Amino acid sequence: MAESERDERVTQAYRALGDEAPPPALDAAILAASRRRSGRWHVPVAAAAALVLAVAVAVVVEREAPTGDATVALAPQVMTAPAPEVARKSAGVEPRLAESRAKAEDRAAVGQARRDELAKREARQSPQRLSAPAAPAAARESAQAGLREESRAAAAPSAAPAASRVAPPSAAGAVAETPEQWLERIAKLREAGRDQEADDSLAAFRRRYPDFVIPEKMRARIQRR
Amino acid sequence: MLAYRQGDSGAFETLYARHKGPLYRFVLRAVRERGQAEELFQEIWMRVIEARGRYEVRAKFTTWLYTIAHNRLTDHWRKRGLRVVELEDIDPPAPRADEPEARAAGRQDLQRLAAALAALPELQREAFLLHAEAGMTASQIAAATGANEEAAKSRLRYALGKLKAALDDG
Repeated sequence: MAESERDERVTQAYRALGDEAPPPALDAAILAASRRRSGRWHVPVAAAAALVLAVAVAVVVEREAPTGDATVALAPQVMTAPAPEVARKSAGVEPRLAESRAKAEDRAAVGQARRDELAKREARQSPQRLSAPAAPAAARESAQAGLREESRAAAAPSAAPAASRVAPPSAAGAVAETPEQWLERIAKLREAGRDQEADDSLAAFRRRYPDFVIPEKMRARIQRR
Repeated sequence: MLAYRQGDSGAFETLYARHKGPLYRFVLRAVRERGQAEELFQEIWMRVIEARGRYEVRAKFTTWLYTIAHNRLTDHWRKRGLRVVELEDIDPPAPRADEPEARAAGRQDLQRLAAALAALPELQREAFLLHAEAGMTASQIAAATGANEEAAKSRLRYALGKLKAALDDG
């Protein structure tokens, strides 16, 4: 039998196995998450705008203040030197926090939809086993656990540079680390037997670059043996 | 995906409608347990949503999507130590006593196929599912999974051969 005929026969038989689709509640939750996130670009911009405004107001107030007092005379230096630094840090941290909160909300909402669907399915299979008040309570608890898990996940990327102690990069190097360099660092952690750090760093890598194709040779080096 | 990245949520709905069925079955038949499949399916789409800002047109959206799915499944298998789990969802029902003979034979074929699919090594099963659900060629499978093309071709060929042998066993 020709290869294409074999392929066709197997594929046809495979199709007959079924045409399963995700439950509608899961569809709805994923689509809702996508809609919430599609308009979220304005949050970091709004946060940055608010910061610029706050700094500008502070500078104007400072310039209009009386200059006779020695304490106040020092203020412009205090204000002008650290303010851009603070603004830079805040502009980075605030949108990231907003983004993390958004991800946590989305994942919790989608996770809740999936749990509701599972609860419904279980209720259909054995209605006597599932008491009505217990289900929402368990679901709420799971949702909170989901949020906690997401908070840890959101914090993990910042933990990744800490795992770079095997080959400490310079501050500038850490910022500019390419995916390949990050993987090399994980491989070195693995070689050093620091499996937990390697696992954590790999998980952070996956969250940062979910679509990065890790070559099989590198995958063999970074996986737990 | 580019339209979604620009803020067009309708574009995501179109993509989701087109890919949700094949991706869901790809995940379901890879892990063979509905609860886990739903969790992984959800996580894959959430990663798509979160990665939208980094999406670039370097390959077909399908390849990008299944690369994310492959990465998530790889993590899943790594955590589970490649353990085989129950075949609860793709095992067709056993033939009934009053069923016509041809139909019962068809069901038995499907049972053998489902069992053979479940018994495939993970990488061969993944190659077959990418081919059957996402319509990928060996070179597209290689691109999505990080394998070289010869390896992808070989995995697909072995998978098809074993599944065909299972159908012929009847």
